[in-house]
Amino acid sequence: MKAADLIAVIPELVLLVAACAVLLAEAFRKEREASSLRGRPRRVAVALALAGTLGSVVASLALVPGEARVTFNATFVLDEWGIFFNVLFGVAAALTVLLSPRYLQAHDRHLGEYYALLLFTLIGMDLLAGARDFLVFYVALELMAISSYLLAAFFRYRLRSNESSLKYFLTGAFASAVLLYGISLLYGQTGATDYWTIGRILGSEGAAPAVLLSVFLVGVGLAFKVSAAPFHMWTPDVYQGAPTPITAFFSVGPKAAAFSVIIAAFIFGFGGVAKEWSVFFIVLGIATMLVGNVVALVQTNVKRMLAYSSIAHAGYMLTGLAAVGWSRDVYPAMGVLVYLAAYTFMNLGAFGVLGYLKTEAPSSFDYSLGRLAGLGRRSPWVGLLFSLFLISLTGIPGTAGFIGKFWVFSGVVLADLWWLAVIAVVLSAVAAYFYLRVIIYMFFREPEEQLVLDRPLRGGAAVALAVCAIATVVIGVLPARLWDAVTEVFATFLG
Amino acid sequence: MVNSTVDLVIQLALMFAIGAGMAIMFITLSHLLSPKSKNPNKSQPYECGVVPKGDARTPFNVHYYLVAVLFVLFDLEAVFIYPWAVSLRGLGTAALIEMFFFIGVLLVGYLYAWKKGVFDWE
Repeated sequence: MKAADLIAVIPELVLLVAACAVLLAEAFRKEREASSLRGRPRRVAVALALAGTLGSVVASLALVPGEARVTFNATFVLDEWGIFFNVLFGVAAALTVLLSPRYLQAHDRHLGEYYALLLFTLIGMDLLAGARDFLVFYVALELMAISSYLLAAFFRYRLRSNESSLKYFLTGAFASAVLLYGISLLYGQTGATDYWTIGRILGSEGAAPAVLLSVFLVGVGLAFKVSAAPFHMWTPDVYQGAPTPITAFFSVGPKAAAFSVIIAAFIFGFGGVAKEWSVFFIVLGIATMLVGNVVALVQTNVKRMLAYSSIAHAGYMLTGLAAVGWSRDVYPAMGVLVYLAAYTFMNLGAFGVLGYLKTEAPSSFDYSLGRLAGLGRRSPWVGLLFSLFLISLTGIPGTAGFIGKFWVFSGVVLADLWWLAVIAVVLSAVAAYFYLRVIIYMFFREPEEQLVLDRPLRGGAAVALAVCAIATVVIGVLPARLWDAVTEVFATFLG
Repeated sequence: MVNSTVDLVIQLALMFAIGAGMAIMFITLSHLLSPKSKNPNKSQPYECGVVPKGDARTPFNVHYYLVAVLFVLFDLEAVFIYPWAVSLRGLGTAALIEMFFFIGVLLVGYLYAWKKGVFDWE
């Protein structure tokens, strides 16, 4: 290690310092009335967490390099690619921090450790995006995953939260084992763990069975992480049981991190068998879109419905990945990055609104569709906000969701997979039914019992939802800036 | 090319077959070959020679788990320090600073556990 290597990990170091500061601040708090402490605001922890996440974003932006910083014996790279993801993850985490305090206070479980765990998850995600070596990638993945298991179990007095965490842990551990087996086979064949060396050696071997087996195992391990069917079974239960702001974060953060690593590892490491893994992702993508959209149709619990919808969105992005391998061109991957950015804001927003409703009516709101009836007329602003996010998730022009879908699917068409794009578009039309049904319930159904919201949307949650809403509209109307940024990312990515 | 592909498939299949075969063989052999003398006492759980009583599924003091977790944490710290100490001369001052940083991060965890009362045995 050279001292200069540390410059590339400044964003992660900022996060590490913030996370340790949150832990120490929590440990050295003056205990006042022990019983009511859990419902109290944690101003220090929230401020430190916000400073950490935004600090890492600022540090990443300040590090915009002329050339890629290849560090730690070429196992970690900070380039435009890493900065793009650092910023995306940092913003998603900062929004989650803003969404959380009132929700946790309403559930009498406002502890500083929550923010420390969120920061540790974020460190893992940032390292994942920059990793260019399977061992660094694996360690970062575990850092992200283990912190997420704890966050899922944060309401440890609740059965559902425990169920969520245990299912997440067991499937996650299983996926890690499969992934590690794949990595060990790769090491056995090439004697290397970094993407480039593996790519060079495998490129000369062609599609030998052992190569295909190891690529398949790595692919399956990562398919668990992005909840692609048939490896999606854990997703609805985990998302339903976890605290809502955490569900919001899970559905965008770790998933986007897994996508970033799939793109990097498969392009650099497995370029020699691109056609083969493309077929793998085509099959996964079709299954994922089908399962996500069709099962979401029959959900009456909105939180669970959004969990299936996040499976479906992973399916759309998988078609983009398949197109990358099929055409051996990164153009569809640019679409996937745009999609990830759009999806981050609209999905955080949709779950954020649910979190707000749960905060204001912790006992009477059970996330069921019927409970939302009449909400649009009683609280028109909340209704409109939720409608905006749902319309964007549907992919209607003028919103971020449309831009994401447009670029991913156009990449798929240009890769000569037009039939796959047709399947994706047809299935996203099916999705309109369950998204728009929620809007119909909010505005055109008479409620059996009025949902009583004590206070209007305010504080950090209001700021976070406003940011999500503005980003959703701005990406939808003026996508050029985002596209330029993504183009720049790929200009240096392949180096 | 075709031949070598077939060869590789056969090698891979052989690896799986031998792996599975070994596991099955050992379990079957030890089942068949082991001497058996039936005695009701032998099917009881072993508790250091004391006659077991009650149900094993009782709540344990959570301190057992906390201590176990802390043990793993600080035991691993020691495992990392050994190879570092052996090769420190060749690594220079950077490695010394790195180890202080590593221990510093663990110290945060230690302080946290301490202030949270993990070491209070009352």
